[in-house]
Amino acid sequence: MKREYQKLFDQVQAPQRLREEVLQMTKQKQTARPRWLPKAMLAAVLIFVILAGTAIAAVGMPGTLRDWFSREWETLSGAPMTEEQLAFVDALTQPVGKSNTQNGVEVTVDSVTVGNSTMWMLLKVRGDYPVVGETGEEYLYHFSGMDLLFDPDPDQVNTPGGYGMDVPYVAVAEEGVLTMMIRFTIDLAGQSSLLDGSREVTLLLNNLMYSDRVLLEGGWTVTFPLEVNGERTVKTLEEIQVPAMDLDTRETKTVTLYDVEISPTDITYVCSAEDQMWHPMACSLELSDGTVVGDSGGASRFRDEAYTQWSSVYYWQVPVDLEQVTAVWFGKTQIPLT
Amino acid sequence: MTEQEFNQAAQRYLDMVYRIALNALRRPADAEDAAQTVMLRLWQTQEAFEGEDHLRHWLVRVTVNVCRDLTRSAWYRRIVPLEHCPEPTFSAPEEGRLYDAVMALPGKYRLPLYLYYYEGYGAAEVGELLGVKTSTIQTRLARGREKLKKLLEEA
Repeated sequence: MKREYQKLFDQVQAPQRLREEVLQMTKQKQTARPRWLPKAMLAAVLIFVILAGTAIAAVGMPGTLRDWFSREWETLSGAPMTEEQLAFVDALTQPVGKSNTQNGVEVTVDSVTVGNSTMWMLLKVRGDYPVVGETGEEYLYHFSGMDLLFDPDPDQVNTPGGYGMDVPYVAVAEEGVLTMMIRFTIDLAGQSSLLDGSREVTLLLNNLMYSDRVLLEGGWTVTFPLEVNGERTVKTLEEIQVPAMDLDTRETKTVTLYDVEISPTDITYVCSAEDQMWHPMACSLELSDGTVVGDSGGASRFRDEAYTQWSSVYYWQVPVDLEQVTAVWFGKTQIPLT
Repeated sequence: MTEQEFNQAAQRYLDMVYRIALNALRRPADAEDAAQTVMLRLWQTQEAFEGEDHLRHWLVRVTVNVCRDLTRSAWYRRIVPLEHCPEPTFSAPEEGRLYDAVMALPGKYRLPLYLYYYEGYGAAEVGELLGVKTSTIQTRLARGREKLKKLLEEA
């Protein structure tokens, strides 16, 4: 049996692409932390975009962050975004307009919307790249690698994990401009915020892809300033009891979350290391007009190097004015916030 | 670690790291992510390795921990699998069927079996690497072997 088992796994080898990526690691800055888009995360994003495809066709193709958030809002509330909500999104959004050109293709960071732990970046890709695929399958465009660096780095925690990048939206305009939304979120463990001060942001992109096909080899580096005024609006809850589930066994129980911080863009909280397998039920915000804004994804890590506090961040589907929030929900448990 | 030492280590151990991750996580896409993380940690580590055994043991331990962190992460729990990284291929169709059957074993059997049968660790070492009592590993190995034997007979 041992021999057959060994013979079987003798044939299981790391893919050549992975081998090449690993051997390239030494060429990168040793201090840079990897934030390459995990392939499984990309898969989740692809599904999200497939499901959202109908909405894209129905309300047109967003070309700005404002348009995109408006579309998201209409999808979740059934009504157009109010002027107040539009103004709130505008206040978090800033134009960038910085570009990098490689092999005849220009990648521009058009604008960004930034909050406590989450940043949405709108990219425009122009130039000499082949437009392929069918209409409605634009979500298959992506970059083989994505990385985001901040200077100064807001991350004060030395534990692994706690960040994520995904691509919730891709479209090709009639003039052949590829419009791509990149969303970044990081669990800063309550110790800092992306809004703490102005920073220099560097977005690194590798190889433009369509599905698993390389459309254009290259590495694009776009550096841009992130200007913030240092104001940070959060609602805090010291300790709450919420329903949670062990996703392996589907058992449920109540867990305690500590240091809950609800910001216009995301929620962070901590539970004990013993409870980390208990996943709090889906979290959402209830607004005064009855609209419910859910969480849409996030990341987790240990907040301390002793690995005792399991910390999580989840970003909202759209930024929310906290003055309009009346309650936070975990599954069917309501926690009033007024 | 110098660039040359890293490249040599990557050439020697990347397959091992990938196989362990595949046994721990099941999905090739996740295994690739985990393997990439492990190799980056190797490149960034300040650890002074005393020899090949030390390096190999360090890589196994870090791979197990990285896979454990990944399965605990909120992202991993929420994602819907959409396999778009290719599964391993085999020279004979029956080996492919056997591989599918082995990977369908519960995770608590897969990784101990791999470390024991392929990497040659003893039950106590497997227990230490996985943070599980030796007696528990022995039970899992016995049950895993039993299930594997049936699979091999059927294949």
